[in-house]
Amino acid sequence: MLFNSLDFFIFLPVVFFLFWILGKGKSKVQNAILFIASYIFYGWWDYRFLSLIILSTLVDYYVGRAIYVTDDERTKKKWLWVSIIFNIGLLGFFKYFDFFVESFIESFSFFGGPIENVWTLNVILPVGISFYTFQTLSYSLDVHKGNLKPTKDLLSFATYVAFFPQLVAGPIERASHLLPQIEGVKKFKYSQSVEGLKLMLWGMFKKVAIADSLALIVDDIFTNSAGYPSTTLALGAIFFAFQIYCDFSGYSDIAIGTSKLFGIELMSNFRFPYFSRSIAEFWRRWHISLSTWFRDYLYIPMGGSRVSRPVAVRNIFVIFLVSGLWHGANWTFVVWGLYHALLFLPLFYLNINRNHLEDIDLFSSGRNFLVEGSQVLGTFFLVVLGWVFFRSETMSGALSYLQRMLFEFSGGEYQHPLGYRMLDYFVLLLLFVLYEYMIRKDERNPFKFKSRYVRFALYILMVFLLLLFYDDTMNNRSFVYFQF
Amino acid sequence: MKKLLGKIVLYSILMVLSLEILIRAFHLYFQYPVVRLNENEVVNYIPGQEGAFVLGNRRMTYSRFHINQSGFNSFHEFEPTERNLEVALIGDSFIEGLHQDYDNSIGKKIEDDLSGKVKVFEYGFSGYDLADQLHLIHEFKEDMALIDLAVIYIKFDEDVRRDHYEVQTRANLENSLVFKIKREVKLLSYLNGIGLISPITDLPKRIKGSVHKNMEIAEKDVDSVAKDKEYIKNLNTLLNTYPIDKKKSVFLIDRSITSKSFLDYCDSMGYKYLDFGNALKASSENTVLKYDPMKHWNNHGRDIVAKVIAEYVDSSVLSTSN
Repeated sequence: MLFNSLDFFIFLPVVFFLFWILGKGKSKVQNAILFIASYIFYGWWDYRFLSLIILSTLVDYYVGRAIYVTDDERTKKKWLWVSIIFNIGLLGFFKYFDFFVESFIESFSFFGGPIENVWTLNVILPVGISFYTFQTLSYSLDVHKGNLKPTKDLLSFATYVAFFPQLVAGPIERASHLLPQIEGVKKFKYSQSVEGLKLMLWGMFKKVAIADSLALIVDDIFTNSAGYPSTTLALGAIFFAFQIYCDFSGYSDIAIGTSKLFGIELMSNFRFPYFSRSIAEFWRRWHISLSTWFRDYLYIPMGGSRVSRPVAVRNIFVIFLVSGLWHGANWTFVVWGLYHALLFLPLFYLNINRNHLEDIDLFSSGRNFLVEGSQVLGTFFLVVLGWVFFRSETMSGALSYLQRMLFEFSGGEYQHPLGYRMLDYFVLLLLFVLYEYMIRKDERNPFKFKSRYVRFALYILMVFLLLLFYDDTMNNRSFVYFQF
Repeated sequence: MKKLLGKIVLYSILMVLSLEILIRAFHLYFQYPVVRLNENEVVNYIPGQEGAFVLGNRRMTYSRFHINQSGFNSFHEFEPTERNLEVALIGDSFIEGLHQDYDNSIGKKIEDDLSGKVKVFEYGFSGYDLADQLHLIHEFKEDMALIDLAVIYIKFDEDVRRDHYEVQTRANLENSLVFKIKREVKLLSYLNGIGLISPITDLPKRIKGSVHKNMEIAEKDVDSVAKDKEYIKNLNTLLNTYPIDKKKSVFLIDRSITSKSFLDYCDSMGYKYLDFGNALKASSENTVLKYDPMKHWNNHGRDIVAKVIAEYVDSSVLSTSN
């Protein structure tokens, strides 16, 4: 079920009322409702893959218990490996099996001539598998580290794994944050629900008005890139930067907002990443739940930066490569990760990767508008170049796109594939960037204005723009991150 | 909880009202002229209406319409005479041309191409099929007798699915209370136009799982022999019920999407047809409104179609009248 579908608009109020009317003050009933709703939500897409979620839930539930009850470190480790092998194996099979087989055959045929590919299985990627396997894995890792006491309540754990607002595209929640909230009695709070509804409106605006309306242009430019001049290719890359940001952060906002309706707080996933002044800051603001996951469960266990320089550099490369590969089974994602590692490395060497911890404020006294402004633009430019790898189907396609965009200058007017005025999109994006700048200090409150009239005018404006840019040719367009 | 629900209801009402005002202020809504069923049981528009037809979100097409006294969107009143050369263009929305300014229609373009030597009367109405068109010719037979050429636009694949005329349900539907509400509440009209209402109205069908089947039924394979036979039979029945003057009539077709059996039928029965498909295909420029799901001709497409008709009129009507 998609957030931007009629099904969800019917589903959500039904679950909301059942939850608060039948489950008032009763945690078990609340969790049972959330559990059933989550399985319906996921099963709407393909009920067959619910079996994987059930399996993942059972394995990590019992692994968590088994780790906790034993004092023997070796046994604890053995159980942890069960969880790691199971979750990574699940992910590996459904997400990477074909990729590794194809890559192996390609590299083998490079040396010894063509080999017929008979091993790939054309495995369908179950939606959200990368998210929920990481979530269950983090549970076992936290229990193993002693940071979390495993739950005895299977229903709560199953609800934690399948919690529908964040099941298919995150934020990837840690059990230590989400599970206690699920286990406890959820109390209705007016202010929390209102915040949730506002975030949902903001997320829906980003998804429908911006991401979906840009998607058509981006798809056209990337698909027919060979026929377009370099200015159009640049336009395609910049538009993709906004498309993927609005798509993914829009999803996260709707997820966080929906959770608030059930009295549950999820972590923030984006903090205005395009106002970053360096790549390091970008990664502190982009897909926060994934980058902190890798930081806590991969980077730090490998030694992080508190090791020798060569080992620290290796750690940086590993974390970025794995992060790239997490996004998809394609060399373009691997190179995208590598590219970011290369951009991050100089900052690490110069020891300035922890700069810019505070929010940007271009117009405050004591700040250099020109310096910070150019840092933002420079970082955005570098990020946009990286998105070309991310968006391209193949490495050769990405390289040719970049080469033509950067080194073969040519201009020409771009016509929207459906004939819409392009000016509308430029105005929309300009307004969006200005508005994001205004609200940049609080990603969880996009309508933080004192006057209720201003707030109401903004709600109207968002809905109005949403209706203006809605296009039924894009009806129920899926979220980009569903494919990951 | 009550406070939240109260606020949601209040804000929803205020939002609907505000959106209604904004949509009216920017004239974003999809406005059609009001339909009537005239005394001859012909479905067309109530005469004398003027307004603007809007297509696409953000008003991508904004065109003025003018409904003449005969109930059609045209820059002319239809008053055929014996002394002037007059052409009737009969067809569906492509001829009706709400998606263009009424004074920049195909008919006007033909007149301009022929330097005003002929008058063109456009009997176009959205959704007309051949039964509607032949019924219309029959009911307007006195006018048609004075007209020198009737150009009947037909899409074989869509327009001969029935073998008799009966009043379109659209006439009843558009005068129903639900439709009137849809028309008067501009927000609803806009939402309907951008396709946000159909998922709601389709919901019961979706639940029954019948949408997919219906779509399959609607799509006809052009090469289907059985369907072709049925359509030719319908065509034959209709032309026997409402005979047309073969000398003064021509079917306007896109040959590339028209079944050969139609062409064979016309050849054997002595009906004339005029192809505009090749001319459209030969154009290097886009010929249709891109954001229009019906793919109506854009200004350039209409130029081409008008030119094809003008050349035909020139060779078959003007040359013989000289």
